[in-house]
Amino acid sequence: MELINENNYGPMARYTDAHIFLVLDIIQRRGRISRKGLVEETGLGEGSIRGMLKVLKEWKWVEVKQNGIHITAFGKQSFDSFRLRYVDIYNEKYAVSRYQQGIIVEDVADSITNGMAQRDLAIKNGADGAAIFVMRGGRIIFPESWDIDEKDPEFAKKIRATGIKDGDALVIVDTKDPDEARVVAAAVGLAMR
Amino acid sequence: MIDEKDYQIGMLRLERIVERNRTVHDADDRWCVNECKLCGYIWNAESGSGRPKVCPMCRSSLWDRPNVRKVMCYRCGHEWVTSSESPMMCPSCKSRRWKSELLPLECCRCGSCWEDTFKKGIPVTCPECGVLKPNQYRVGRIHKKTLRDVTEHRNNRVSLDEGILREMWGIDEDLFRAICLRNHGLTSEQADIIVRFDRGESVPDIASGMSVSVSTVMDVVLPYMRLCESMGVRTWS
Repeated sequence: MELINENNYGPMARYTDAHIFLVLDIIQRRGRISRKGLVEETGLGEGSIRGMLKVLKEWKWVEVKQNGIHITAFGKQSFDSFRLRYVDIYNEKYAVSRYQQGIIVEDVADSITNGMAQRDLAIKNGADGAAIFVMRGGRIIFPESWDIDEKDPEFAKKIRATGIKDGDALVIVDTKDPDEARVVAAAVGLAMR
Repeated sequence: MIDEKDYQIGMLRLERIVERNRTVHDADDRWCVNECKLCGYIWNAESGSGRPKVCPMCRSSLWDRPNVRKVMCYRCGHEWVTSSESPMMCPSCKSRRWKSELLPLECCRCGSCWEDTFKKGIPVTCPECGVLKPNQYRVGRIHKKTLRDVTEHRNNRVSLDEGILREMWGIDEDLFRAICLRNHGLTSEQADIIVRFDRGESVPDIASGMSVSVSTVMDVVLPYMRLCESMGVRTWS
């Protein structure tokens, strides 16, 4: 799924759809946050944050007030409709780099065959690697057919603890930078939607 | 410009001066008659003293130049005297378009073209988008539009009004709702987006279902939301 397809005028934006998702996630998690707080959390520049907030404000997804930025009811409804959720999960066997970020993409398990397309997508977006897990018929599967419940029950337990449901997919991306991990995870998640 | 009354007064004055010159200074031809081409004032001066520097009435130094006239800048309202055929710019605001009362403007946001007085200090207002910032419009650069431009512009605009919405809400079937919107000039994509949004589908679901970007959906949905809010039907804030 694409969020912004073009900029009507002005210089090219230095942020991507994934950054917008990340900003929305931070705003809705924190409830209220300042622009400076967003700059610190995302690692983006003030100008990029301003640009993003301008778009989100125009869409009526966020409100910018003197006491901070907060998500509107319409924005919350739209954000929830992405059906993407960051989860904290770490495993050295399936991902190699130091920083890992998991993201659950709901109801896409049927569209995943061997997970290579999603891995390639993560690599293209700057990840060092990615591992995809799906839940089919109540079993955690490492595509195409590696049953994690049977082969690695400890990790299967960790995956279940994230709240994954039947038909969902879990993507774990690994990068050398923690901020980048979240952006790449969002980029893969949005592309899978 | 000199009006008829001033002209008559000037002519009488000229006649008097000529008559006096003939009677008093006939012998030595020392006097000559000068006429200011700007204000029409006529006076006599000694012929040996050279060309008078300024008109004694309007104090203009260009009093004897051909084509001398007073002009006004349409942008800032500044008036000045010139003998040039067409002055390049206004000496006050430096505008090169000082001569045109109306200027063609083009909105960079929606592509609308209109003519505006474009006066200094008055904000430029697009008929579609409202007040524009200086980087959001172009002045005097309207190019001849191709058929593609016109079609694209028409396709990008969402022209909704209260009547159309009420007509749509009077229909139960989604298909006929979409047809109703299309009949009122919306594209099939715009009509589908509005029908889906009106049904309660979320923006990301519509974008995902129709394989379009969220911004495309929002471009269509925002005018609908604004209209609903102005009608007091629904609010989103």
